[in-house]
Amino acid sequence: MRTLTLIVLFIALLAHRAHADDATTLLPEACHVSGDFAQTRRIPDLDQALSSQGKFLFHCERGLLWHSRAPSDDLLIYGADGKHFSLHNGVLTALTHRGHDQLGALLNQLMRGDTATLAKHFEIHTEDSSVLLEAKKRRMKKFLHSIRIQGEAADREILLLHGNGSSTQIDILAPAQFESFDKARCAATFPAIACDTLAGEAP
Amino acid sequence: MSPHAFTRAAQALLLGSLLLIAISAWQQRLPLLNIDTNLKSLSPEFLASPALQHAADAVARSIEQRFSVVLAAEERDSLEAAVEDFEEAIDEHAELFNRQQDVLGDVIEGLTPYRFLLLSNAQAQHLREKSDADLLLEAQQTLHGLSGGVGALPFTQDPFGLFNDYLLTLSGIVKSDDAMVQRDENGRPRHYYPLHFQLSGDALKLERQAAIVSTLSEIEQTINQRQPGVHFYHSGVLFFAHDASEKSQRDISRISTFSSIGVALLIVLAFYSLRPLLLPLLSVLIGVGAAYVCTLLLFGDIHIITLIFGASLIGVVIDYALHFSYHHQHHAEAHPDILHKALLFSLLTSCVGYGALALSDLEALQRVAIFSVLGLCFAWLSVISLGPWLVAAQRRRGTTLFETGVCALQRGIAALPSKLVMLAAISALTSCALWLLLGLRVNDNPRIFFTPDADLLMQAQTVSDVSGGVEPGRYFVVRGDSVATVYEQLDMLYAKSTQDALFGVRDLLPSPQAQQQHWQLNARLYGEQGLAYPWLERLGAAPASLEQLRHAFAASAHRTLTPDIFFNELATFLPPLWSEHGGEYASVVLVRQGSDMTALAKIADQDTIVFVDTATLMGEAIAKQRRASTEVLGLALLLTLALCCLRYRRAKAALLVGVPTVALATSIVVLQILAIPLSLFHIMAMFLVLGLGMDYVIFVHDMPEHARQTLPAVLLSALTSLLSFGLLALSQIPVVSAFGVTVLIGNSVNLLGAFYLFTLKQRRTSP
Repeated sequence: MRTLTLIVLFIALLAHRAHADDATTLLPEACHVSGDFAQTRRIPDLDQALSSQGKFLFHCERGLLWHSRAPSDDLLIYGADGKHFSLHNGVLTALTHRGHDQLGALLNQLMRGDTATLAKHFEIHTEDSSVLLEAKKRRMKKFLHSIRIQGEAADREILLLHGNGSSTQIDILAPAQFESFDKARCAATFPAIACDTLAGEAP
Repeated sequence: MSPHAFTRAAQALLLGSLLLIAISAWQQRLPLLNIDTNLKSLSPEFLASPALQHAADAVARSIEQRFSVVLAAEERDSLEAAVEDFEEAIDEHAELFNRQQDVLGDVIEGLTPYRFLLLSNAQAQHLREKSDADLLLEAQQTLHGLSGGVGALPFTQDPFGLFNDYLLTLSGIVKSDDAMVQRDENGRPRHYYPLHFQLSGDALKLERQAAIVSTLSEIEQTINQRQPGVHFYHSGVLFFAHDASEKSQRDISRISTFSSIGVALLIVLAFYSLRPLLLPLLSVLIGVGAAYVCTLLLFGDIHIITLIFGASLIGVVIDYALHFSYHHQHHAEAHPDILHKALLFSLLTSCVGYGALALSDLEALQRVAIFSVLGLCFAWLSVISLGPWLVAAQRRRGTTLFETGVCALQRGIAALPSKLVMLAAISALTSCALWLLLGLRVNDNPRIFFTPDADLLMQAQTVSDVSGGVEPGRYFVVRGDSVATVYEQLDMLYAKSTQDALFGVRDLLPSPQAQQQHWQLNARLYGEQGLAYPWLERLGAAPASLEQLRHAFAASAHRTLTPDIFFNELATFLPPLWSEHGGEYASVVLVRQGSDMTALAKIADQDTIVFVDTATLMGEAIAKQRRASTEVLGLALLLTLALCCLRYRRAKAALLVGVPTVALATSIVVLQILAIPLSLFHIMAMFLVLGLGMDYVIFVHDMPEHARQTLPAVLLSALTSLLSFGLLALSQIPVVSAFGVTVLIGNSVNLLGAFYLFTLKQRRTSP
């Protein structure tokens, strides 16, 4: 469940750097990207939409930082080396669920920009100004039905439809690409311990 | 009764019985190839308590129903492609492959009513220690985080995600998800993908084994044409059983072919014609065939060991036909009553010998006894019934080369000094007695049943390494008179063991007492004044959803998810680690591979916490059966002696039974000298030695005036047996080889003894 949501997010990150009108270009153009996100979640039983904002950083050799900052603070680190952590109140906790291992392996595959892998899990449809990825397998469909990616590169919108009727809309804002990973630049935006962890220096 | 009436009665009995068997088989739609290859059927119950045995048997049956296939390749991409092809191919054979996949997804609905009772230890501790504010903050963070709102249940039915996390923990423990595993081998990464299957039918039925293995082989060959770098590793009882039965069939088929050719050549040498083969062939077919169908009618299936032993009956069964042929060819009209009496007495002694096996407390041996006695009776009936027709038409010839050989052998044996023969017999008997007193070299290792294929063992090890398996033959069984007592014993066991060494019900399901505690802890979230409701209201949850949650929590107040419901109704994909039998509860705790077995075994008190080492216990059970069979063999000798005493004078009876007795003693001595440890199957073969020996001496004793027919018949019969069993001795299957070598030694002595007996009779009757 959690695993699949993360898979979807990563796919969305890849898609963010692709041309929406051509599914074959869902490849990362650069190894290193970071930016802001705004997330709006709608759950069938709740009248109220749940909004959150935060920052993310992705490096193809090191992994992903996903930092929700409002309304609450929640940071996840998905290392490309297969080590995954959550960071709460300065305390780093290893994520040891089997699902995280599977996710890590898939992330690494996706980080290589492997459209063949995407095509294994999703039917890819290109439309006028968007790309629609529909889950192929029953197991995945239970938790994630489809992903729609649309908008311009500077303001990409990703809509996730979950199997239980929930939806999550993520707006990627002001994405920036970099040549290489810079720990100091990372630490200017994220907690230092998270950047150290992504750099493979801690814990 | 006149010989003619005797034959008529036999014909009527044979026809009537065969008709009855055929009608019964047709009415029951009997599957003629229902062969049981499960070696467990041979082992008696080895645990003291019925509850423990019941639990152990249930787990053993469950393990037999499972098998795994691991696909491996250096290139991850080619492995993924192969896995996809493999999954597609097995989906096309759904009747054979029941994939264990997404198993937790199927039990969520069943577990949902119990969700407020199910907390992991960490969750329970969390609820005890955290403040209300902390719990709400964490729930808020999760809801806004990456996985928020996407769970196994709608958000309002598990707002704190505790049930979802419990399911994830469970998933990690039972490793229900398929996942690629990467391992470094010789500095290079290699990828593995395990797939697990469960069989719906009996894994140990030959047809099913063959269908699964051949389908897998076809699928794998097709995949290898596209992805040549992909390797397949198999693990499961199914593959070992199939390998064993294939090897047995190959072995027996090869031996039967050579043996049949050899027997045919011997017949030609003895009769200068192949026609005399007709009666032995028909009697063997009718005898073994009728015994086979009767066993199926009585028990529903036939064990492979019964079949092997039953096939060896051919050696005895053929005797009746050979004696009949020889005597009818030369004296068709003279003294058929003497021949009938000799044949009948021979049948009686053999039935007594084989029937003694029924006294064993092992069901497999009892079945062997029934099979053997039925086979002997039907073969005998067919010889008496069909013999006059089939043999009457055969032309009599002059002295054959074979008969010349018989005379030469007879002269050679007659030339032996009596003292030397007596000395040899006494030496054999004394040495055997000494060995029995001092202790025989024995082999009760379960491996005597079959030698597992080295490649299959290696494959099973690889699968185990990749899947992180449990010890297949070593585990704990914990028992108690209530569910709570068993959990208390489990707590004790876990407290004394190393972390993560065990896998049992305690890892999956809280005890009934703990479940009530968990409900109390959850009351803080979902009770009347629970934290969940104001929070959900703030989030805009519909009042109906809140009411549904409140009701679900209240309804589970007095509910308990018992291990019985958990294993037998919900998590049926798991081995049945829980059982109830005779008012006693027992739980099997599996041991993870790589654990310190010696240290773990010491934890058991062998009363309420029992450590089971299947190989050791099987060995003990086999030893018990070997000792019991040896006693039954002694009893069979005594019964045969008693039967002979009813017919002959005591001294004569002792002399007759003395021949197979010396043969048995010699077999034991020679096996010990050759450093071949005595196993259960050597003892089983000795029943055959006894049966054959009695046949020879009865004919030699009862028909001395027809020496020209009796001795060639005995020699021909012995040579056919020695040829068949001599070839069996070369088999790679330890059980078959044990049979062969024992009969080879024992029956050689029987033959020499029978000829020597004839010499003694001649000396006494000669002036």
